[in-house]
Amino acid sequence: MIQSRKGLLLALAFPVLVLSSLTLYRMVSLQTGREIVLPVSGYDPRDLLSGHYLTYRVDYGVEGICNSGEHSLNSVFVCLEPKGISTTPPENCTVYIQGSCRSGFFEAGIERFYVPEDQATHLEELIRSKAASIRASVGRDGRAQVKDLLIDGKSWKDQ
Amino acid sequence: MSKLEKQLSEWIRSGLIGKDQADRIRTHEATRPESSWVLSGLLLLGAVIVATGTVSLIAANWFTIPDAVKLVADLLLLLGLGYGAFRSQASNRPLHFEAFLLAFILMCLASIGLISQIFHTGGKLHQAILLWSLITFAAASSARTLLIPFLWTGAFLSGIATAAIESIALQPVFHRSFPAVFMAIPLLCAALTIISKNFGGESASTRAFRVWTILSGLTALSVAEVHALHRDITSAYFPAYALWAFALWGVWQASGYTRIQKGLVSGVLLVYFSSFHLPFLHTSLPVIYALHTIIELGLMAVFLASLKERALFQTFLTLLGLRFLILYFQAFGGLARTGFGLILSGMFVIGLGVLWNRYRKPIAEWAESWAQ
Repeated sequence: MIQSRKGLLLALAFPVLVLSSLTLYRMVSLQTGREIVLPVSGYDPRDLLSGHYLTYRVDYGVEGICNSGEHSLNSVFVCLEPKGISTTPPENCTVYIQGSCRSGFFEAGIERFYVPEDQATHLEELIRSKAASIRASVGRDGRAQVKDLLIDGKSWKDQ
Repeated sequence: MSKLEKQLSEWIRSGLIGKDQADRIRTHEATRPESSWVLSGLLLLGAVIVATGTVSLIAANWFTIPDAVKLVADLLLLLGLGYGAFRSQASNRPLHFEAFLLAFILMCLASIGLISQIFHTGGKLHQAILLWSLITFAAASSARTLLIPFLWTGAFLSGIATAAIESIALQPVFHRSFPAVFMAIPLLCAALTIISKNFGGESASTRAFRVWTILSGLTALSVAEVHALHRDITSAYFPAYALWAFALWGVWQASGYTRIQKGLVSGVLLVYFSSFHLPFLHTSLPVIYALHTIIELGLMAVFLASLKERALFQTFLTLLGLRFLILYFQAFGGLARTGFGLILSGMFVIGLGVLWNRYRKPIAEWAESWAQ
């Protein structure tokens, strides 16, 4: 379909530009967001593309987030200070997380933590037996990103 | 004896060519450069293995290496492969170009995996595949051979089918209905074939979309039969209806087909539509579904014969025979009957094979002439 050299150059440059921008966006969001710590509990599955990860339930300290009756909701906002739930960006809320309800569970894109293959089993045991939490960065739009996994308040790397 | 030697012997026996001509053909063929399909196959296989190895290496998660180093190394690798593809095309090395392009495209997927791993994004696999499809579409379209567009289309279709079922945003459209999604996928391929043919001519992408139209169409027919009793929400089929109408319009707009050929494809589309809507007519008889599939396969076989696509025509004829065989098992039951049925069916298949071997040319010619 693409015959010209210019066209090919654009076709090859486009994915590189998109992936670089995505990386940059993620880096900036991580650095500029507000840092929060949330307790979690979970287990260890595997992802073909990115390797081992721990997936967990995040305790937002807010009851009945996805109990509105609807099975799936595209936009749900959980306010952490003060505690509350809404389907539009909440006003008078210091920090809120944006997510969606899937099969009755709230998902904000912070339910995964990628771990090295050889440490996955050990970390899974730790996360089950000790107090685990995640350190996340939350942007002004409520989009959250995981920074670190904490076991008894310390980074998993220090265990 | 090689294929060429067999053909030469046959042509000499039939009096088509003399021994001198046969020798000249042998000399001509011997001096031609070796066919490059083995080399191209090995190069492309090598590119796939290297890229898969890179994905696996990234997935192992080397946490002792700083994230920035990993990201920069990934970017440099991407740029290197992209440059390799560009240079290969500029210096007119088609095989190298295809190998570099394939490695570049697969490396883009590995990069998405790496970004996902480093930033712990909670995205689903189908989201990663769809993002990859979007950013590599133009690069995949620049391929000259079928392999890259074929892989790209397969990944894109699996991503879009999974998204149609799993994505919260698409749930109000497809209502998590498998038959509705499976009905839409081959029609989406057909629509992509029409668009690709109109904009890029008979390119590798057009061929890949066409191959996937046939493959996904056959899968969809099986799904329609399996879900015979499943009555779905009608609105879930709306995207398939739109694509169906577009495909029908595209067939009648296409140049290069005779009116009868267009009629045959329209027939294929009509029967295909009907296959997914039998549950709404409260029909659950397996024979009715089987007949639909048999008519569909038969129409496709005649259409392919009219295009002189003999290999595909024979494939569809074989599928038709297999469907008849399965129909037998659906229609009858019991061990003794099944035993007799198997013996009879086996003899029927052998007989069909013998007859086909003897009369395949006249049958194909008859089908071609009938459709023209």
